[in-house]
Amino acid sequence: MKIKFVFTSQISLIAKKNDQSIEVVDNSSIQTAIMELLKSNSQEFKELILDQHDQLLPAILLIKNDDQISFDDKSSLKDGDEIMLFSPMSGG
Amino acid sequence: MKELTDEDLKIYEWQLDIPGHGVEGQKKLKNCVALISRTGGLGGPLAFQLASAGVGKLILAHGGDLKHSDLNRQILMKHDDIGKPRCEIAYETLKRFNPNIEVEIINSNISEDNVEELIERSDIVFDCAPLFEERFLMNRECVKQKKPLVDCGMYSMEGQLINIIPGKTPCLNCIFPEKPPHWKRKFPVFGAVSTLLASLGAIEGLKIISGFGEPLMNKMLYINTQTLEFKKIPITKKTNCPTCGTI
Ligand SMILES: [Zn+2]
Repeated sequence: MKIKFVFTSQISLIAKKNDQSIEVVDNSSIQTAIMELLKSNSQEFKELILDQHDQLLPAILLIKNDDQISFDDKSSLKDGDEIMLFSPMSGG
Repeated sequence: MKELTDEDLKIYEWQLDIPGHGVEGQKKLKNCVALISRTGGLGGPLAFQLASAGVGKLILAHGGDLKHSDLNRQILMKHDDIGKPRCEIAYETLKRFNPNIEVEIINSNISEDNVEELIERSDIVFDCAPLFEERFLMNRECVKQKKPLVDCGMYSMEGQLINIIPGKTPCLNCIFPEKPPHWKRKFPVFGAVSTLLASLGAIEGLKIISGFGEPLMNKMLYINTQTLEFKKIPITKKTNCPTCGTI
């Protein structure tokens, strides 16, 4: 099934794109999908999302379609789900 | 409470008929003290919008002098003023535009040394700061003093907006318990994007002060101007939040 990741702020800057769709096995969890996404991205990209223990950084929000989900959410993603990786912004 | 003058009624004529606002709402704006952290790409145009709406007193906190690289977005500034303190230039621009409001400038950024006192003297706070440490500091103090905080952010062609109403909404730490690592002080942005976020922040502030409309509550607005997508993302208060968990 296909999952679309949407990148925001510094994540999209490092990825050099605003989104990326990936194929994952049916019934994958969010963690599985993120690990799959990381395979095709740089170490620098990974470090914006996960800590050294492969846990989601506290500053990053996961938005599935319109709602926040946790990194530990074990429910199955569905074909066509859109996951936004939200990194906070500031002023300047 | 200060009353509206005849000149006030003339200047604000075009906004007095906004449903739910009116003369009573305008009086609330006139009697409001708003603290704005920074007068840059976000804080500058935000202060300008509050000044144009007739918010009675603005306190602007911003250290540092104007540089060339500020001029693509810091629209209260002028090319001729490169090298001068930004808060002084902001003061001149705002006072020339609306001499009937009071503008107080603090030539330093918000820090542990001044945050408590500045927020004590304010009715509402606008967070337009670049550093997450400063943003968390204002959040902590606003929660403690139960003052509304309008939190604006931008990055590249995107923006975020959050209203923090202590006791009614999550605070900034409920949403982002820590700052993002690898954060760089310099990031890409157009002035048109920072001005858009500034206007939205000002609109939220005006709604909160005057009491009209429906301020954004328990949601974070995310904007991507690359695609013109506007999304309201639900946010929730954390009962174990170290900042607001006990209120
Ligand atoms: Zn909180």
